[in-house]
Parts: sequence; structure tokens; C-alpha cells
Amino acid sequence: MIEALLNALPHVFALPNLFAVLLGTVAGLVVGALPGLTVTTGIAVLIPLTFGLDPLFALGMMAGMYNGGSYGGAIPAILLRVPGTPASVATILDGYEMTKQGRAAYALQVAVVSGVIGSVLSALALIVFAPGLVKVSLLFGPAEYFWVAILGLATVASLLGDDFLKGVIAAVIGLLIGTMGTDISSGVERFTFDRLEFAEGMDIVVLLTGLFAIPPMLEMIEQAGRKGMPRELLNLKRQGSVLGQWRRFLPIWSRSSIIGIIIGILPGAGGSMSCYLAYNDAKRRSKEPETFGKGNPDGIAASECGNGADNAASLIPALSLGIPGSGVAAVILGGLLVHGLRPGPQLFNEHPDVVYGFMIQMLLSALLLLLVGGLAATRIFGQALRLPPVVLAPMILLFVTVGVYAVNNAMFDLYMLLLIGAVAYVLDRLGYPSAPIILGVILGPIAESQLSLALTISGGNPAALVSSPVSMIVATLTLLILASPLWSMWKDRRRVRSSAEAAS
Amino acid sequence: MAVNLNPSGRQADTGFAAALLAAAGWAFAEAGSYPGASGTYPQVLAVLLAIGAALVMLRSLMRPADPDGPRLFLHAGRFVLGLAVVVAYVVSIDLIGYLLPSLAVAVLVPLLLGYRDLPLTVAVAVGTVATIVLVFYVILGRPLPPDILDPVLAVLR
Repeated sequence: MIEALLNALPHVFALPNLFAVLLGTVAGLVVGALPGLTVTTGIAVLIPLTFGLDPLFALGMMAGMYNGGSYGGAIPAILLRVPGTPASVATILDGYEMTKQGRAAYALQVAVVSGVIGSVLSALALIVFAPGLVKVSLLFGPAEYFWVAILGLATVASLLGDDFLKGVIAAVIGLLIGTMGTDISSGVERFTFDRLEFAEGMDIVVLLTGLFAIPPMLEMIEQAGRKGMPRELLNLKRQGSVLGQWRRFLPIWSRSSIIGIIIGILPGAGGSMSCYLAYNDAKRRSKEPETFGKGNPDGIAASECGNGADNAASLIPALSLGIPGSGVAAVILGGLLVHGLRPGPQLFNEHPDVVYGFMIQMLLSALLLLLVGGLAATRIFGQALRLPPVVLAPMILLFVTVGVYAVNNAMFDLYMLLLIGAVAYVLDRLGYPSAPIILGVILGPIAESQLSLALTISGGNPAALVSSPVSMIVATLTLLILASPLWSMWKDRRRVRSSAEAAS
Repeated sequence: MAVNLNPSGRQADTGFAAALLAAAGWAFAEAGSYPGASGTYPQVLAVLLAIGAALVMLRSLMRPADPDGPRLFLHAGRFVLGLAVVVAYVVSIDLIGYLLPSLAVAVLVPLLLGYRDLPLTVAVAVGTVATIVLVFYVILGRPLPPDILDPVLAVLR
């Protein structure tokens, strides 16, 4: 392996290929930062553009696009409360609160450093552990995936906000929306209103944009603010250095990276789940869990680090077995095939310079992100906040409209955006959190389809759901996460009672 | 007695919970027409939604009225203006394309809200639309909605 890595180095550091990684990272940052455009879209656009070019040039751009886009989503999430990608929803919770408190530059710094650390560790995991880690993913069948999805749903407890009941309702709304479209186990079309556009369910980009972009835009118009954020609030030097506080963030970075890498390796489970799990873990272990969602930088660190750690790891099963760990990895698989590279064990034997070169490019783009992401985020995108909200609000509308239209080239999506946005405004004003809706929509269908598959395979025997050690471990973890709020409540009551007794 | 068109938090909570309850009822009935487990799962979710909505409704009805409490809209008039702008914008895109309605919205909204720095507003509007066209249409090759200015856009590609 070391010999293959050394052989790949000259190819990776050839000037055109280095330029490709840089270009891809910058483009990814822009794509991720534009609400409505996803990394998947960006890479899908790159495939025809790079067709016929040197494979490492094309893959370098894809690697940059993946890491750049993954972080880029955090920029509008923190500055405008508009998630650039589904994975940046958890970042909104504390990121936007910090922006409101005048700590936008610090929040962006936490996001970029945490994202880079997650991405670097993930790329190292891809390089070092790829063959061994692949074996872990082979232990997962439908029952195990069902529990992984339930585990993801259990993290909803950390996203419920101040009103538990409304949080649960939001999650149920998300699960119900997740049932829209064709049920893959029976072929029945559910809640499609006889519209072809709903045959595959509600489009996640339209839903995401409607839920998170329209309400703040309408609120900006209602508040009619005519003064932008003062320049000093976006000054990095006055808001402290994240690297100088590495001791504080180290445990979060370590745990979130491990969570992101493990989730990334599991085929089909990757994407946005890792950031929720990492966020939940950080909140659960925090001494001040009540500060999460109110501008705690630990929340951003966990979410972005988990998100970054998912990236390269999701390519482990994709490159080794041809099974993608996430939607983006699936598109990259397509990109490999276009260049005549068939993913699977033979890829490592037939094209070692390309496959190891690509792994090094993932690492390189993660490091470049620190430079490009840091500069772009604070010095370019951050300046958008200096515009008065009355000018900024229509700008958001312009970007989300074109982004949503670009997903399916359909006006129908824009009318849906309008409808979802109006409902989302009411939800927002009445205190229903939006993050559980997204989690329900993403994980509900996975849980339902894997449950159905597991029960079909076992002939309807529910015991099959906990028949393997892996499923038992994941199920136990789920129960522990669900029980942890009750445990905290019991501890709080005991503390209150004992202090009352001491006072009397 | 003057009628306030901006509902109180309590009224809005109750009304929205009632709408959720109705939606849950409809989803339950609709899911009943799906065979087997395809219908059972959404029906269970609909029941959960109905229970949650009923509890919110009950809670808000039992809460004492607070005439000075927060209302549904931050500023009802400007909310109506904002919503009307968004609706008109989407309909205009459908009718004449993306470019002209976008420029109009980006310039008119700040003006309607009392912001009078026209040079900045126009510069931001033109800059934003130009950036969008450059990134989405020229570089990424994504289509824009059919536009009356399509012949002009075609020159850029």
C-alpha cells in the first residue's frame, strides 16, 4: 500500500491535478453555499464537463467539490439560517444563534476548522483502514440498518427545542411526509395526489429550502431592518481563535470524527445522519446541554466535524465494493465508471495510482479547505451580512428560487416552495422546530423499507430484528439515547429535592 | 370593538392545531385505502399526529388569554406585503421568466420597505442576478425558467 501511495504522489502533485483540486474545492464551496444546489448536483455537473480529461484531474475536482461543498453548506446556515445542504441543518441550531449574538465570524471559524479536522481524519481513515473497515460494513443487513435509522431518529430528542410536544409533532409530520411517493415494498403510491412529481416522494431540496429559507426571509421583510451588521462583528481577530482553544474542542472533534467515519462507511446510511448523531452526542455529554441551540459553539463543532468525517469514509465501501455510502458517493461511482474505472477490489490492483491518488486528493482538498474555506467564508460570504436586511431578503429569494428550479427544471417545485414556505413560517412563529421534520423525512423511509425487508427475509419473525450482535448493540444504543433525557430529568429532580432538604 | 387581524399566540396555536388535526384525519382516511402495511404505517403516524395536535389544542385553550402576549405575525401589514411579493414573483417567473421579475423584486422590495439608497439597491440587484446567471447558467450549465430574454441569454453560452 505504501508503495502505491508513493507512486501516486507525483501524479497528485502534478500542477494540472493540483489546480483541479483547488478549482473543485472553490467550486464546491460556492455550490454548497448556494441554497438549493447540492454537492450531488455539483458532481453530477462535473462528470460531463471532465469527460475525456485525465482521470486524476477529474477525480481531483470531484474530491474538491465533495469536501468544499460539504463545508460550504454551513456558511448560509450560520449567516442566514438557510441550510446550503441537508447536512447543515444541525449547524443552524447554534450557528444562527451565534450570528444573532454578533459572533458570526467565530461561528464560521469553528465550522471550517471542525469540518477540516473531520475531513482530514476521514481521508486518513480512507487511506489507512479502507480494506479492513470494509469488513465491518459487510456485517450490516436490513435489521441492522433498521436500527441505525431508528438510532438516527432517536437523536431527534436533542433537536426538539423548548417545547417537547411540538418537537414530537414536527418529527411525526416529517415521518408522514417521508411516506409520500411509491412504497418500494408494495409498489403502492401514497399521498401523491395523482401528481407524477410526487411519485418519488417530496423533493428534499424543495422541502429543505421552503422550511429554512422562506421563514427568515419573510421575517426580514417584516422587521424591515435598514442597517446591516457592523464590520467589527465580522472581524476574526476580535472574536478569538478556535485553534487557540483546541483543548475545549478536542473531545468533540475526536468523538464526532469517529461517529462520522463509522456512519460514512455504512452503505446507504451516510449523508446527513452523521451530523445529527454527532450533535446529539456532544449535547448529551455536555455539562451545559441546555445551552445547545442557543449559540453553543460545541454544537457547530460536533455537527460540522461529523459532517466532514462522513465524506471520505463514505467512499470506502464505494471504492472497495462498489456500494456507495451516501448519495454523493453514488454519483462519484458514476464518475469513476465514466472514466473506465470499475469500483471494487480489482480497482486497487488494476489502477493503484488512480485510486490511491484519489485518496490523497481527498486529503489534500480537506487541507485546502482550511485556507480557501476560511478566506472565502469570512472575507467574502460574511460580507453579505453587512447589507441591510431589506436588501438581503430579496437576494435570498433570488438564490433559492433559481436553486429550487434547477433541481428538476420544474415550475411545480417553485409553487411547492411557496406553499411549504408559508406553512413553515407559521410553524416557525408557533415554536414548532423544523429540524425534526427533515430528520423524519430522511430517516423514516430508510427505517420503513429496512424493517419491511428484514421481516420479509425472516418470514415475518420480529425476533430477527435483534438476532445479531450488531443489531443488539445498535438497538441498545438507541434505547440508551432515548432514556438519557429521562435520566437527566430524574437527576435534576433529585438535585432539586436534595437542595430543598438542605435548605430546610 | 376593533378587530385585530393579527391573531394572538393562543388563537394561532389553537387554529393551527385544529388544522393539524384535520390533516391527520384526512391522512388516516386516505391511508386506509392503501393495502396492508403500506397503509398501516401512515395510519399509525396520523393517529400520533392527531393525539399531539389535540394535546396542543387543549393546552392552548386552557392557557389564560394574554392580550399583550406575542402575536402570530411580527408585523401583519409587512407580512402580507412579503407574502404577496413572493406569490407575485413566482407567478411572474412562470409567465415571463426569471430575469426581469428578479431585478424588479430586488429593487422594489427595499423601496417598498422604506430603504432609499437606490444606487446600492440597484447595484446589489444587478450584481446578484449577474452572479446567478454566471454561476448557474454559464458555468454550471443549469437551465433557468423559460424567459422572454432567452435570445439574450443564449449569447452567453
